[in-house]
Amino acid sequence: MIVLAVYGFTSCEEDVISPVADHTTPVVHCLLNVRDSVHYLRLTKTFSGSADARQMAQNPDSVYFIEAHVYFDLWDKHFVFHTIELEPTTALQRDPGIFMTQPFLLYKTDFPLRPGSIRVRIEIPEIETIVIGDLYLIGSPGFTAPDPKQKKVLSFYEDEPVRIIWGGILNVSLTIIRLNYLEVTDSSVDTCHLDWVRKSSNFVIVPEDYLDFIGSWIKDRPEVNYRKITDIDILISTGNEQYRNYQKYHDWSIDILEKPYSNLVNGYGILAGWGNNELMGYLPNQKFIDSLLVYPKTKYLKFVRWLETK
Amino acid sequence: MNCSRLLIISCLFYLVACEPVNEPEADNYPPEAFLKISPAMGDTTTWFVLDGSRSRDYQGITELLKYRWDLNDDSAWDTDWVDYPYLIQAFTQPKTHIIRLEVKDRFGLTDTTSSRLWTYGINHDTSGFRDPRDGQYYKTVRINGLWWMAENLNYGVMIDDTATTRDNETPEKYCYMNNPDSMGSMGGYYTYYDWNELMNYDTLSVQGLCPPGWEIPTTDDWDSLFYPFTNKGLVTYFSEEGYSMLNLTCIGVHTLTKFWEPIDQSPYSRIWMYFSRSYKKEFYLGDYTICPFLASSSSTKAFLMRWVSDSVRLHGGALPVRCVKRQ
Repeated sequence: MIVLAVYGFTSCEEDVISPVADHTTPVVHCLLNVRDSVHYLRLTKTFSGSADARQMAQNPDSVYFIEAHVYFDLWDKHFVFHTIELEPTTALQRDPGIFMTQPFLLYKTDFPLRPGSIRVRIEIPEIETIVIGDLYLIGSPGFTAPDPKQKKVLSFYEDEPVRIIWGGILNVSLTIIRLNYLEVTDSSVDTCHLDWVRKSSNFVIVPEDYLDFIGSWIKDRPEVNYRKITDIDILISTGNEQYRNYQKYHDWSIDILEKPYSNLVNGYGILAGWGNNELMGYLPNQKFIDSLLVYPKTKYLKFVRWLETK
Repeated sequence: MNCSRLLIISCLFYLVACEPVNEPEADNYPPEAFLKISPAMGDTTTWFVLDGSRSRDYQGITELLKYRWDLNDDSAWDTDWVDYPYLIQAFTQPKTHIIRLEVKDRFGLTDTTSSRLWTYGINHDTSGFRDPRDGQYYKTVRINGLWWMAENLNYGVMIDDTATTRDNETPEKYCYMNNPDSMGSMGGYYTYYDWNELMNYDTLSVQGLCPPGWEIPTTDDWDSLFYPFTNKGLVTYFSEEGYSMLNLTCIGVHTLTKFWEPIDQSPYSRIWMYFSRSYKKEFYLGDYTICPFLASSSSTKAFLMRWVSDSVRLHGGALPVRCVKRQ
């Protein structure tokens, strides 16, 4: 009778979707950028059991595998032409939280990666598992406008609008217009910046829109005597499809009704490539800076006129 | 303990919980199996990802599909039915492998698909021969039915690398740093020839300075060797310690009287370059130039083993040589 009962349960078991791993599963986090001088990969494992989860999160044996070999295989269409073994390191600090801050085990390599196909291969003897993830590592995006070879001035209110154009793998297009300025009080000079984030790689900066943005986000403080624009940086970043999905499901702990995104075989996690670039030290022209002093939303912000920025 | 009550409860649970799920719906159709293999080709150490995750069950729930695998096309399934659509597998036998995947929906309907992958292993089709002209022994390897010298040609009399070869009936070779003993472990690794000298000053020559019965390879010979590889993959396969056993030697830049400089230790840049006997227009250093430097793993073909000077790169170029033998 007991056999029958067990049979009843096991025959149903095959049709049950279990969102929770019933065994130890490797969890991988690896974002690669060709501009990085050191590349890191984080490998942890899922844990379950009767013990308190917070206690387990503080126990390295619950979080890390005893032994793991982490490789980057560089691919050329069909063949691995070079294999890099990443070395474990605990040199970096983890932010305080649920998980222990030390040891914070990562795997690293300082091999100069180039754009191309990379396979992450992780061999974990403890669970007799090989985890594999594939990606195409993208290069850094390049600017078309403004032309990096030209004078570093953003000419607002001229015949030609100020346009930002850049190219690359455009699954993700993020442009940050960073306004750098000083806030001067009687006792201090603070270096500040204001980021205008645009999810595009081809757009015009309409001066009135930018002034509206500045007026909305910089709050005047009575102790500030004046503000002075130093320059504007243009920061761009892009990523492959996996990076887009990583951004979408950035934190698995948030309430999402879908399955967590993973692009790894025999494990969970993210292996993604992203690229970035920047143009630094641009100056808005005189018309724009002087407009800050008269535009309704910004005239209270005590920006100095163009002549005084020189 | 009332056993009969437990039995009834157990049976009821089984009927209620399971039976409706397994009852085929009238409009149910078989699932659609889809198999992707990554990479499509590799060597016997490669881990292949067999990916059935794109299989679909349009009338049911794709997540409830089950998978099983036949890894050697023997019509026997090598795995049980499993929930996970991936399998990571290495194939230690160098050959073409046919992989079969069968998927089953929750009502028991199935679909099967198959795909091929290729694995290259160590080439055991090797031999050797002695050059009757000077008694030097060369390892050989057969690839695609063509015998290749597995070491660089090392025949002739060394001349100083500042000297120009001459049509004087004496086979002339260059040696690295003018040292004929600098041969390394790879035969004539450090030996290289001027192309005209190699061809015996006859652009239609077949044997050139190769041993009797052997030929200077044509461009087609090199091309057939490299197909279907791509640049960096073929470097791995054909270079020293590669599974082909051909042992092509990666080159560096050696301007006269200067020490050897590897071009780049980066695996992204490793190249080798050999002579063929074919003349062809090649893109070289920004200009189309007639040159026979065709058997290169580099798409730029911008490096030679020996440069007369930094400013006269092309005409002073000399390269190592391999010979082939047709059956």
